[in-house]
Amino acid sequence: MLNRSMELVFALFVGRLRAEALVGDIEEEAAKRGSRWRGYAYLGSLVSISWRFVAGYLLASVLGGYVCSALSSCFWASLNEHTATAFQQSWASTLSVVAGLLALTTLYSAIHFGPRDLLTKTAAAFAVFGAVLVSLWWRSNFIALLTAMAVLLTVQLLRSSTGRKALGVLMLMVGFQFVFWPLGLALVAGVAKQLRMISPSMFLFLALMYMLLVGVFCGCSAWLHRWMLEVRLRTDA
Amino acid sequence: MIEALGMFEHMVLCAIVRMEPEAYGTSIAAALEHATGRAVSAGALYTTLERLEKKKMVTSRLGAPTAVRGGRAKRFYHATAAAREALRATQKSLNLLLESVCLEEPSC
Repeated sequence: MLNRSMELVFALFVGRLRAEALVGDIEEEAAKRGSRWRGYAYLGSLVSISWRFVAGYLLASVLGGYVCSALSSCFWASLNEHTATAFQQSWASTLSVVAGLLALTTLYSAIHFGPRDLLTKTAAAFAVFGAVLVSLWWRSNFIALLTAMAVLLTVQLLRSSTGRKALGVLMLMVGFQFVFWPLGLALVAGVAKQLRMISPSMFLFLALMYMLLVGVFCGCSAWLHRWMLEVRLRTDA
Repeated sequence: MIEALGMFEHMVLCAIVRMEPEAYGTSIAAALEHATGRAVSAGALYTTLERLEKKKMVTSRLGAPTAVRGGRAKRFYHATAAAREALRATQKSLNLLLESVCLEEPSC
């Protein structure tokens, strides 16, 4: 009974055939080592194959909400008359949003696809450039230097096929999030408003819809990564 | 270009090459346990095997189902030419490095 249910749970993360082989290996060894070992082996295997997905999902849940508030506050700041005029008229507010999205992509990719993944490294490099540029937005000499370095990095990436793909995935992911988070939340809020629910159920509905939204984001990111970086790289090899 | 491999990935690849054509989860874990003296978690081994497959270092095929596994099939792993090349390169580097190293303390 336990092995059947664990096989189903493993299949959610690694597919049916691989889950079958993994459970078979554990059952074969458990026949020699006993039922206590079996329990630990199932638990350890579940943690090993699911932690990236679970941690990535939780991080996206927390940072997705933060991105929405950062996006809205940055746009409001650029429109608000009390914000410093120099900041209002600069590109820094828009770049800070992009740097934030790059930082989110870096963290998410490091957890979900690994710290040595091409997307993680590319996103981290551009996130650092963006963050330094935003923090020194009034120093024109630094801006010129960092912009030149960012352009050089882009040129270097464009020279190789893998670099072009990583850059493509990064641009798509940042662009996707720029639209996805605010539009997704607006859609969730819009549906909730249409349904005119009472407060507790409204809260529950919004929470569930947000979790679903994060799930869509995680699924789309994994698909994009697999489609452009994993499959295409394998074809190149 | 040879893809960068970690320590555990190297160990798993060595175990696969030694166990072929009978290299599957349980036999690889047993070989690693025998060589290192430490228990290997099935989950850690499985994720490493999957990563090696993604890196095109190993290929796998399904075997016949057996009763001891509850009617489940074994997944046999095979090291690719790229994996053998990576292992050769590592062996060569280690041999070069160890050649001039004196590990016997009194004679150094």
